[in-house]
This record gives sequence, C-alpha cells and structure tokens, in this order.
Amino acid sequence: MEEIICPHCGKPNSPSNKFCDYCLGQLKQSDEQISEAEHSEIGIGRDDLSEQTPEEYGPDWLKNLQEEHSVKGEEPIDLGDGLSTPSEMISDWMSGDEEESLTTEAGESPPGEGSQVQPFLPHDGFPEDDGLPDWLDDALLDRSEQDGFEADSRVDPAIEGSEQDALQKDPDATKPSQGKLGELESAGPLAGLKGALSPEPGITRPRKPAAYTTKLRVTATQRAHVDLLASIVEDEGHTKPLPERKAISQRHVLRWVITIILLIAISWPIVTSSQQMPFPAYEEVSAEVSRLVSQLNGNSPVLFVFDYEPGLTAEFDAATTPVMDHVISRGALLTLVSISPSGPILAERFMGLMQASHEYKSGEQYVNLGYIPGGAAGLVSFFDNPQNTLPYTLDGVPAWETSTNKGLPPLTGINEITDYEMVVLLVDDPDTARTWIEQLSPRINEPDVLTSFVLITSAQLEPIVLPYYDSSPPQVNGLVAGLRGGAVYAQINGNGDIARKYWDAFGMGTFTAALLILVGGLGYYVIPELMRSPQVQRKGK
Amino acid sequence: MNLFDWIGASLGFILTLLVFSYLIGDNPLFRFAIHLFIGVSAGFAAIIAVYNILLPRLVAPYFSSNRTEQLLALVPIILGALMLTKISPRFAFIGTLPMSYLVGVSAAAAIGGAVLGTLIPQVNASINIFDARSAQVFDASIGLRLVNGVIILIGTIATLAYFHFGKTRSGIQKTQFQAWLEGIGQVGQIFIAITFGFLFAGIFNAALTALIGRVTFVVEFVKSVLQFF
Repeated sequence: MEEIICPHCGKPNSPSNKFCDYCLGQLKQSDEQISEAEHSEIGIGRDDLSEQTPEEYGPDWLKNLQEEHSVKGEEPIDLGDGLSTPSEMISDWMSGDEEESLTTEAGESPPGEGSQVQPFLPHDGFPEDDGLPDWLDDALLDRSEQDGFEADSRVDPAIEGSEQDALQKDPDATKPSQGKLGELESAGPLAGLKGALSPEPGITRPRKPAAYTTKLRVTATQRAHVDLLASIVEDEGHTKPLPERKAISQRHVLRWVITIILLIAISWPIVTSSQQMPFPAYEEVSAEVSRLVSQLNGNSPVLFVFDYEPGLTAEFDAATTPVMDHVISRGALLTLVSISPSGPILAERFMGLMQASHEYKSGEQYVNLGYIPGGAAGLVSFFDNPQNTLPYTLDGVPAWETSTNKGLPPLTGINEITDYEMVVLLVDDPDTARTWIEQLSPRINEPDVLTSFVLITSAQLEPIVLPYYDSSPPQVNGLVAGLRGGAVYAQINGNGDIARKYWDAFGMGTFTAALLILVGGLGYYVIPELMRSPQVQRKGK
Repeated sequence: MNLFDWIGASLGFILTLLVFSYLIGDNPLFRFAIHLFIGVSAGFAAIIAVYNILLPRLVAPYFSSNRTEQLLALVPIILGALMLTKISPRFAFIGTLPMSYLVGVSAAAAIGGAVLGTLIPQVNASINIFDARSAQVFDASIGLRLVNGVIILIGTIATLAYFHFGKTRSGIQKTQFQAWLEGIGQVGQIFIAITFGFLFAGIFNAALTALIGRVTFVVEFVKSVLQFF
C-alpha cells in the first residue's frame, strides 16, 4: 500500500488520511480549495461570481440600460446564458463566444456550476491589461480592496501565467507557507511545535496606514501667531541671566548726593543749635484744641490714646508735648490707653518725658490701662463698659472702684466714654484713626454730651482726617498735625521746646527738598532736550 | 546721665548707624538691625498679651471670691479652647463657632461705624455747605463758604466721573454723554493729582521729622561723648 508522506513533518501516513497522524497537518488539498486559492489571488471568489447576477455584477451603464428596457416594457437584456443585447452596446468579448462556464486558473471547472459562471470571464486566466475593460478592472480592484488586499496585490498576468502552470503540476503548492513545513517554531506561543501554520500572506501584509500630514493647514497670520506663541513658551523654559549690576551705579551716586545735601541742610541748624526761623502763623484748627484744653477744670478726666508707631516718636514728641503740657498745667487727670500693642510702652515713655517739667505720678494723676484688644469691637466694649474691658492697670493693679477696692483717682466717676471731658487721640494710621472717629463721634455728638474729641496726628494723616474736622457738625473738634501743628500750638501756649529745637532743621530740610525736586524736575525734562543733536531737533520741527 | 542711660544711648547710636548703612545698599548690618526691631516688637506684643489680657481675664478671676466672675471667666476659656482646635484640620470645624462669633461682632461694629460715623455724616456735611441756615454767623464768610462748597461739589463729582469706566453699546462711537463724562473726569484727574501731592507732602514731612529726630539724637550723643573726653 502506497503511503503518503506528510509535507509538514515528512512522516508516512495512510493514503486514506486527510490529515497527518503525527502533526495534524493537511495531507491533500482538494480541488475546490485550489480553485478558491486561485480566485483569492485576484480578490474575487468563485462563489461570489456564481452567486451574483449580471445585474449586480455588471457596469452601471449596463444596469441602467437594463432598467430602461424594463421600464419601457421592452424585453430585458439577457446577460446570462441567453445574452441578448444590441451588439453595438456590448463588447465583442462579451458575446456568445464567452458562454462557456468560468473556469478556475487551475483549468478545472467545478461540477454543476459551469452554467452559472459569468460568461464574460476568460478561460485561461485574465487577458492582458489591454483586453480587460476599465469597469471590470475597477470592479476587481474595488473588491480586492474590500477583501483587505492592497491594489498592488493584483498579480501581474505574466507572473500569474507561470504560477498557473505550477498549480496545474502541483496543487499543494497553493498552500500557504509551504516552504516552512516541518520547521520548528522558535518563538511565540507555538515555540517548540513543528509544522505550525504561518499566517497567510493576505493577513501578514496589512494595508499601509493612510499617511496624514502633520503639518498645520493654517494661514500666514495664524502661522505667525503660532510661531510667536511657540517662541514665548520656549523662552519661558530658558533662564535668562540677570544683567550685571554695577557696584557703584549712577543711581547710587545720585542717592548719595541727595542724602549728603539733605543731611548737611538739616545737620547744620542742629549742630549750631540755630533757632532763628520763625514759627508758623496761627492756624484755627490747632487753636481750637488750645481753646478746648483751656476750658478744662482741675481734676477733669481726660483720655489720651497712644496709637502710633515707635518710628514716628520724634514727630509725636514735637506735636504732643505742648498739648500735654497744657493739659497737665490745667490739672487734668489722665487715663492712657491704646489699641496697638506698642502703645502702652510709648505712653509710659512719654509720661516719663513729661516728668522733667511736671510731677505726675502713675496711679495718682494718671493711669495707664494698657492695651484694648479686639479692634473696633474692643472699642465699643470700652466705650460702654470700661470697667470690665480694662479692669487692671498696665502694672496689674485693680484700677476701678469696687466693693473691695477704692479705685484710682483718675478713674473716679468714669462709667462710660462720655464721662471724660476730653478724648485726645494720637494716631498715625488712617485705618486706626477712622475706627476711632467712626465709633466715637456718633456718641459724643449727642446734644447732652460735653465730651470733646481732638486729634494729634502725623503730618501724613492730615489730609485724611481734615474732612472730619471741616464737616458740619464737626466730628472732630480740633487737630494738631505733625511738627507744624505742634509748632503752632507752642506758639499759642508756649512750652514747645522740642518743636523749637526741630523747627530750623525742618525748615532747612523742607526748603532743600523743594529745591532738589525743582532742580531734578528741570533736569529730567530740560537736559535730555539740550542733549538732543541739532539734526534731531530740526527733524522734530 | 547714669550708666544705664549711657548703655541705652550707645545702643541707640549704634542701631541708628546700622539703619543708616542702607545708604550703601542692602547689607547684613541693616538686616541685623531690622530683625532686632521685629523681634523686640513681637516679644513685647507677646508680653502685653500675657500680662494685659490672659492673666487678668482668665487667671485672676479664679483668685477672687466672686462666684459670678469665675463663671463668666469660663466663657472666654471655652471659646479660646474651641479656637485652638483650628490647629487640627480634623477638628477645625469645632473652632467655627468662636470664629463666626468674632467675625460677626467685628463686622457689625465696623459696618455700623462706617455708616453712622463716616458715610452719613460726610454726606450731610457736603449738603450742609449749601445750607445757609446752618451757618451760625451771617457775614462775608458766607460767600467764602459758598465758594468752598462749590469747589468741594465740583471736586466730588469730577472725581467720581473720573472713576466711571462705562463703555458705549457699539464700543466705537462715544455718545455725547460719555464725551461730557470724560471731560469732567479730566477735571477730576486734576483734583486727584492735587490730593496725591498733598499726601506726598505730608508723608515727606513725617519722614523728614523722623530723620531730624535721629540726627538730633546722634549729634547730641556725639557732643556728650566729646564732652566726656
């Protein structure tokens, strides 16, 4: 009995076997499979050809023609076996010579299907390109693309002819990956197995991915904007070296020159103890304070509020000293408070300063109640109930009169803010000043209240608080602003040693500063104009 | 001048020179002086908080025999303890109660003060300038007061007009009203410039007085040292 050698593993098998007993590889390939493989080479299956009617398979013009005939009631064009159509409308190769059934490239006609095969396909493969009509060419091309093949996979007729000869000799040659039969797989999930089928060429040759351009389709303006944005983003990633700073630049020199001039101007009167400049003229706003202080009786309770920063001590010393001196000379009893943490120590320092001319003792003529916490809410609490808000002095001594405590003299009879005859606020901050004015002025502007409210402020605050004084009715009864205000007050009441000591230096400094601003302004605008070349000036004209 | 005064004056003199060293630019000596001032200020504020607030209000009531004071002192202690829970994100919600109480009271005080202490009185004051009945003395100062009132009125309206940032419906063509508004706004710009000039002059005067105070201190210290030798 003749054995069949397995083309995959090379081992002998029984002739009745279709598959190898050893490697399960296919031993024979049926004719049908061969024919199928041949058709797949050109991208069209035999079944497809046999199942399609001529109406479906033919060109559009042929379909249209057939439809026209059917609409007009004429005899339809028979594109099948009984092909009947005007000869002038159908090519010669579609005529009766082609009525034979379609044969496969292998030269064998499938049994029983010959009559259904399209009559216009040639017997021996496809004719030369010249003989194939365009519509068929396109149809074949489309179908091959639909099946996943590239258009380039169409076989060249010359090559195809030789392959057909080979197929006729050996039908098994149509099997895919025939050359690798029996080889041992070296990689992948099938590694170690013999005769594994390799993928078919149609699958392993995927269509090339469509090539899409990566370039932006934009206008020139958009391109310019894109470039600009890209340059900005790119620049962000780069660190730019800082320009080298000169050790001594023009700005430094200018700063030193101004400082030296100003220092000389203010130092000269201080060194020589010059007191020649006259005090400023009378000002109503400061004189009003003097009038109110003059109305104080002996033992009148006066509240002093110290709410300025230590850096402005010199200015407040000059402005407050004449006022405080005047108040103390009237024999008033003082209460000192603050809503800034540094206020209590500034108050103590200032009272120490006044001890040189007055013997005012803590706890007897004045009392320092310290810091009022809570901002505006704390102020409201202090105005309504000072005993509970600040029960102790800065030294920790109980300040108010109780059943067990006698209380300090300056606080005798004080139950609310309107029990004070005068409230003097020393302030340099606009917000603090506004808080005090807003909380206090509505209480003291009542008809039956006699409390007066005066401010001693830094010069920088004068423009902000002046409207409260100028308003009608006034929310603030008097104002002493800065060194100038202190000098005015000292001129009215005397005792302005500090203001007198500073006044000449202040006058010289102000005059020098005004001169520097004038010269600097002229230099800024005039010098560049003079530095311009005559040509540029002429062009400008 | 005793020994402590000498030490204090010497420290003040050295620190003044350290601050003046800023003339040659930012340097370690200047920074040392600034950090010292900040540290001293913070330390003093802490001392004030302890001796002026915490001890007298939270601790002292429990040394008194008054039962009511002791009970009332529990309220700030409890609220303060609840406020401390803000440190932990997990229990921070507990601190919302004292925080909301603080914010509510502060806002009420601030808003009420702003309305009753600034807004209404200042509006009344601007109106009363033109009220002849409010003038206590009828003399030549009435005319001056009227002129003053007109200037204030023009300044107020012009400044408000300057801060008008309206836009035409079309965005291109100005209406006649807007042209007027821009013209008035330019007048307001003059008022604003004068105000800024006034503010600058005040700030300069304050700074100049502070400088004079320091220079006076330095000169007097040097004079006293020279007298010593």
